[in-house]
Amino acid sequence: MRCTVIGSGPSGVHFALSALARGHQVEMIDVGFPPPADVSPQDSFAQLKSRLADPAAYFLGTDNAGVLLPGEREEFYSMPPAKQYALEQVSGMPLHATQFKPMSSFARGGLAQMWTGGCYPFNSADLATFPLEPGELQSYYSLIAQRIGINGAEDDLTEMMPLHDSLQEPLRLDEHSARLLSRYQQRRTMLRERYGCRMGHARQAVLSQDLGTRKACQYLGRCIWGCPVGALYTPAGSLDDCLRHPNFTYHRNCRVTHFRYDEGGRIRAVETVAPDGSGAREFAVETLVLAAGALGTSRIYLESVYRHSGEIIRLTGLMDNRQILVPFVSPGMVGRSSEPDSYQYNQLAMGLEETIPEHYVHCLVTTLNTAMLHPVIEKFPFDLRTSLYLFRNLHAALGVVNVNFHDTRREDCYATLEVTDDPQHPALVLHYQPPADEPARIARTMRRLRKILWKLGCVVPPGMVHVRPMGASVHYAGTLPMSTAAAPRTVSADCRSHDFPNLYIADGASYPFLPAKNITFTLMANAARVADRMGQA
Amino acid sequence: MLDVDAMLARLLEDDAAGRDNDAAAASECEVFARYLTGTAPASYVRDKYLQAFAGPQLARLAVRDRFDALLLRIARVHPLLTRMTDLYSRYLRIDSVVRRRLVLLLAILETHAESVNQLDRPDCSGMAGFVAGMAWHGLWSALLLLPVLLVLLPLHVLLRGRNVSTRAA
Repeated sequence: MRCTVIGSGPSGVHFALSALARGHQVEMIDVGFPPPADVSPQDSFAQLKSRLADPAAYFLGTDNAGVLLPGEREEFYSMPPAKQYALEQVSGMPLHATQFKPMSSFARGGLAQMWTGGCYPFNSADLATFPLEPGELQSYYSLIAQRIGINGAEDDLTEMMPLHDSLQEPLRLDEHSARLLSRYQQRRTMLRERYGCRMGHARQAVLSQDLGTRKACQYLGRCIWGCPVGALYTPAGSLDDCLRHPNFTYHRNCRVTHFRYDEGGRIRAVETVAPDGSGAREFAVETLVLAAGALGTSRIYLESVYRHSGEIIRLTGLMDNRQILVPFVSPGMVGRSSEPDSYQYNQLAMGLEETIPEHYVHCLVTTLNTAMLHPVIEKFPFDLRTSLYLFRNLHAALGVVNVNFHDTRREDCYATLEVTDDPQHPALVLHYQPPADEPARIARTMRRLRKILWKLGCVVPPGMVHVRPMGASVHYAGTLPMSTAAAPRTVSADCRSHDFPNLYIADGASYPFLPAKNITFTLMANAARVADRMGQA
Repeated sequence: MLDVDAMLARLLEDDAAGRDNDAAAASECEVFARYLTGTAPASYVRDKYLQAFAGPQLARLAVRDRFDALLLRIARVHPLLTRMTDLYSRYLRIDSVVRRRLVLLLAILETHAESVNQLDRPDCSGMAGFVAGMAWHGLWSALLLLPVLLVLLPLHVLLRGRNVSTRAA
């Protein structure tokens, strides 16, 4: 079979690897903006500051775009210049979004080139609305873990996220994280029973042991800036694996605008343009696999129907995880030095049980080490001189909990098109309406989290909790969901379209429900499953 | 006798939009660095600060109105006045030009090995020392805040929305 895969993100590359393993011919169409070359890969975060000729250009960008000035954005992190390529946009793709701030990527490897590596398998509660056999994803989690390398441990979190094979030893904890975990273990029974709280080692797509040509984490402290030794997995590495396969063809600098289909709904071709909108091309299609990310896939789907029939349809059920950043201080760490030579994303994770299991709240606990300091210092409610005193003595004591909430498909959250002046370039319209009970749910969770952090020896400073806008988590899903009923704009359990018989949706658009856990691991596992199912069909 | 507008106009004379020059920016960098770190900036830090005013993102650092210009003029004089304008900005004008330029300088300082050691090395021992230090800084801030409010708040009200380009013209 010959299949055409759109997009080189985690879904696309793992679909491709599995399809290639089954003997299929795979053609991938992608814009594929390349990452910049690694800078001084042997140097640690601290060494870069003394060894680079122009460290400010590396950390802030040549035009200081990495500086977060007061009043600009309520974020604690600025985008590292080395990762800006992942957000470079193309022409001819207007977007109108309400109550939603989407991010999209045309990078080689997609948005996951800038992910934080969280790999948390869905459990049976998370998958309750997915039309899958019990345990169907389990072997695929193990397959992906074997491919990409995941570290973690069997601990209290295992109750909420099943174990799989090929789990490497957890990474070394920094002093602050070790202290938090120790405190949890001392108060474990009370935290579990009274607050439904589980804490354990984060599960990350980061090598603690060498895997193939990739080296284990060297604790250089450069995770945020782009791991220079490849210990932190990115999909571009899997694309390289695909490129070594004789049955794989990669077309870069091609943005798919739409697919063309006949009156029977059979897709015959995809049409592409270059990133600047020029150079239209057509690729004949036998089987089409959309893996351009839920929003990219939705746009292609909508535009294909529009160009074929002139009809503007609406894809309902757009989902994303609401994220809340909760900074905290561990008074026991005051006056200590921070540890730049450590793994920089969250080393711990925390799960909060809910009465309804699907409503589980997922928390990532990050201690502050090498992130840029100025966005944090600037937010303290003092003059900068006082804030600097506060910061340098609190640095090692600071952390942030990234709280993630589940989402459900609703009719009033959707993607559609809007034709304005240029009928050839309709705008993608995204509308998101938070659920009515969200404020109460957030308030309840914040009260509970504050108590948990207090029991862990931490204080949440007043006024610094930040509710991120919808779209910020980049966990988009739900617009073409799996369904056992052959309804329009849905896909089967195998992610085969109910509208177009030779179309598969391999990304998050096919999710009928969005658990609070990071979705990328499941995206990869499900894409591998879809490739296997396609082979069996 | 000059009226208030004329006095303010004279005060703001050198700081209208687009009037920044290398010498003024270098002097500003010196004063701001002394405020933030207690020492003069390294030449690398000063060069990077000056480059920011020649770059494509200059608009992010520009004076936005006449009160902004006034704050900048005051802040450039001495680190103590920088602190006073910064203090005022933190509570009543969070995106003032002074605050934006201070944060830019802070960002540059934290990329430079020597400077980041000054910024990020703990200088208290334990919780008691930390609390004492915070009390000292807090007391200073409180003492400065009262005169700052008395002087700057009326001027802020008076100059609110007055475009700096009017004066420059």
